[in-house]
Amino acid sequence: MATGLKIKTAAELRTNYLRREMFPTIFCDGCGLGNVLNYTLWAIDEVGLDLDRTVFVSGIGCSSRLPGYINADGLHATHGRALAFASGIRAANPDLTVIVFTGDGDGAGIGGNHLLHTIRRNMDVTVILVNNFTYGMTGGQSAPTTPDGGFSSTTPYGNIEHPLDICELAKALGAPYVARWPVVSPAQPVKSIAEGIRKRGFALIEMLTPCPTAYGRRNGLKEIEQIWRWYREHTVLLDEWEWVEQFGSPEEREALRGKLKIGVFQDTERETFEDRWAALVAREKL
Amino acid sequence: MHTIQIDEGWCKGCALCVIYCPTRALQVAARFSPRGVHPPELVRPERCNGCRLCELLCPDFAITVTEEGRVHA
Repeated sequence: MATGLKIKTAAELRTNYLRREMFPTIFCDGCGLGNVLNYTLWAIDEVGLDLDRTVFVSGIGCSSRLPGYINADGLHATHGRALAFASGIRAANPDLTVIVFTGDGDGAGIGGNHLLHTIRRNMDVTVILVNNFTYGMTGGQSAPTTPDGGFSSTTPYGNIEHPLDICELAKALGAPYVARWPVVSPAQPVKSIAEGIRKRGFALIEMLTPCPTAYGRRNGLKEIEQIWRWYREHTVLLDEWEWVEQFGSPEEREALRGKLKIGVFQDTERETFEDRWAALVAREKL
Repeated sequence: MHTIQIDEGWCKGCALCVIYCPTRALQVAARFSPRGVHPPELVRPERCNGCRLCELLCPDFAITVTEEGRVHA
């Protein structure tokens, strides 16, 4: 269990983990993807992962550019299929640590089916799912996670579809570790990612990331300060949420509408694919 | 006493460090960096308590907070 964060500097992270020739990143001003990379590197440093034994897998999208910046082996797979490739790597060589970067459109929209079945199999991968409510790279189309009434290039009159809650889905499927954090505060995501990497089995960390360019600009959150403040104001800690639902006044409960729960949703143990496979091989003498 | 080092080749001038500085020790500089953006600068070094929030929140790994007399690689 992590007790506290070790003090490291950005300069140390840069020399140890980054491909310096790839920088600066392609991300827009005010995008939180750089922060996701930053927190992941802190978590990796905390766990003490050997980057020579770690593979970063991604699909397509802004978030999927992240493995390109890390000085480790990476795989830029086809759209939505990052988890399928990650499962393959893990099944072929269980000694490798697999970390998947994916977005809401990539991981939960186009690759939603792979998400379900990778959780069901309980492959030992750590998935960092970056949720920015939109398909940012392709021009701001609506994603499965676009909030109710959210404007995008394909919902110019407001979104009428109910948004998908990825964490509740993963929880229902029995993923051993499920957490959601906004990028606006650094300590909690760093700890969660470290716990997710240490966890045996599927770990999903959903990062709520501002996208001022594709999503914010259509929803009155164009300014960097404004959209980052929105993520502070519209997220409620899980404990507080449950407390308000149980004991809160009608006004307090009304104030929860349109907000997002954050916290660690599930932290359990479950037999992984490898455990069962090893048991099968031993039983059938394959 | 702390100082900040900015890698001006990596800083995009998003000013998140300035927005989130809890002691308001940072400010957006009037000058331009070689990339054509306004980088942050430590205008009130006496206020900086070395909390490193700017370093943690920088999406571009561009800020490093250093203590006086101790320079990180």
